Amino acid sequence: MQNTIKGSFLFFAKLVSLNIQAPMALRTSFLMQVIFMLLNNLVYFTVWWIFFTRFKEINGWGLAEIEAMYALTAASFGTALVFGAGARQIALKIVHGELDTYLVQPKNPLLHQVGSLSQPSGWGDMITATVLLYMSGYGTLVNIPMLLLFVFCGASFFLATAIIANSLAFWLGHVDQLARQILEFVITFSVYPQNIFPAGFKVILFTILPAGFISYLPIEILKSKNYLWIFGLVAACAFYLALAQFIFYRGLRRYESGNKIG
Amino acid sequence: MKKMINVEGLEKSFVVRKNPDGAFSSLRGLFKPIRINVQAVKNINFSIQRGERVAFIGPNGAGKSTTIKMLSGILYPDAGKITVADLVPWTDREKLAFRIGTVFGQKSQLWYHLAPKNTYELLGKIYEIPKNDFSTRLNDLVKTFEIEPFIHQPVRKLSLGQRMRCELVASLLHRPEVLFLDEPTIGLDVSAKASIRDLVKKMSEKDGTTILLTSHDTMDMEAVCNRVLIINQGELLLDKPVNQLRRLFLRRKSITILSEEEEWDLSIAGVSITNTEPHRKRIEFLSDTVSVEEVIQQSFRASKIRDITIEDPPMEEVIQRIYQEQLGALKK
Repeated sequence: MQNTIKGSFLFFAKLVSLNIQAPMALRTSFLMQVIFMLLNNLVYFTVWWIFFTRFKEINGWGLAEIEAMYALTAASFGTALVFGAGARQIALKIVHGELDTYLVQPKNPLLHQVGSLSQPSGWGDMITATVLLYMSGYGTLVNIPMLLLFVFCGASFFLATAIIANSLAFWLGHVDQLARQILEFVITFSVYPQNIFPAGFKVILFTILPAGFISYLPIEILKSKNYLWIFGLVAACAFYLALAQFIFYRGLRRYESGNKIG
Repeated sequence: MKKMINVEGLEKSFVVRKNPDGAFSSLRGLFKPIRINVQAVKNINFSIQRGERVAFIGPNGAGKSTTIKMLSGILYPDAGKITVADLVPWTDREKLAFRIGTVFGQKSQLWYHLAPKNTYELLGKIYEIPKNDFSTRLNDLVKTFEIEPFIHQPVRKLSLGQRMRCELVASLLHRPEVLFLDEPTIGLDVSAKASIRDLVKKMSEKDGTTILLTSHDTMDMEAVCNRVLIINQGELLLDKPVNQLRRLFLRRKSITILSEEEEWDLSIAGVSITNTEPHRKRIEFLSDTVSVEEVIQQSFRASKIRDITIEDPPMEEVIQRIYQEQLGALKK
């Protein structure tokens, strides 16, 4: 027996399918989480609706762009939560020595850990995104393939950030709260139009905290119809994913496993 | 016979941060942490042949789990050589994973909210087992481990004993040549423990699986294994067949006698009567001062015996004695 590309693909497909089934087994809890996330998002967005009743635009961005931006962030984060909520648990698994199960199996332990948990609230984010995209007018049939690509890239940026921040636990120990805060920063800065920030800060949003790639750049691409930027976005996405994988495997050499047993 | 596991000069240490006492010292420790080196495994050597069932016994912190984790590719050793099925665990981790199975008593590989059947299907993909082969193997294991009644129930609703049987099925699906069992009976009741031991032994005999088992429960060792490695403070103290271990360290005997008479007397130098009830006596002695034969003969003379049971001391007692002996003498 050995690893094959087809086998790895079938493993991932099965992992995703189980990943989605598992939280649905607890139906009430699942539905409550979806509904409350949807309400939470819509309540939060009310601030923007009120804002745009008084002001027409912010540096060329109107309500439609803000709706589309928020929709892309919600869809990306929701996708990351539905398919890869395990990324947010990496630090705890490292500290408690719970990566052992994946290390004694022949598939990629990072992929396995990332896909080991699905967060139902992610579905609420995705429903929010669908509603806001429809309202923004950007959710047209022509735009759908591009929007799906943006969501895929956005989810990858969230996952890469979560993996990198959580992998710091290999060196620093208990970083789960720090990792959570870093991810919160990325979410926060991806729901504001970044043309309100000074240039120096924008550099941070396209490097250390890749929030700029998640919603601002995609909306600029849609607005300006400058589709060449898509290549830049995909390249940045591939870079962040590769960096996340590199840091995780570098840290794995320092993994000390748990001492729960004798 | 072919060597399945070979370990030479194995060493592993961990750096542990020491927490100083007192608030001021703790604050200073933030900037100037005190780190100490803990040697978990010290120059361990052993080899295991294909099909052997070996128990790895020792107290908490002895280095059992650290050794198993190095053998299964989870941890890198500081020094020494290991081969498992002719592979080096930490460099050939993925290849080795196809050939070994693991059960960690406190770390489940089953998905908590789903039925074991779902996890088995995922494991079928993880080990890339062909569909027909997977069905045949699963059916076989389901029958052997008698998990049919609960294979479709969520894991969270299973008893610990049921869950452990499902864990074992999960670890055997890909027909591993070596099975590492780390505390497989921890937390189980007496009958569940007995059932797990029987099943593990049966499967090993049927498939020729090599077993390395760690446990705090010496009955696991006695029921499943034919050889024992005893480890303490990172060092290998003893490597003997289980029956030889008993013979070597078995001096205390206990005999329980059921008699026709309610009361009867027995007086032999070096023999103590530890429990007396009507028709029943429990006698204890050291076999190197009084022979079993002499005690039985005297008992037959003194009473009309209905039943007689001769027992060895519990393995805990045997191991306790080994720890107390001079390590140097034991290694010879």
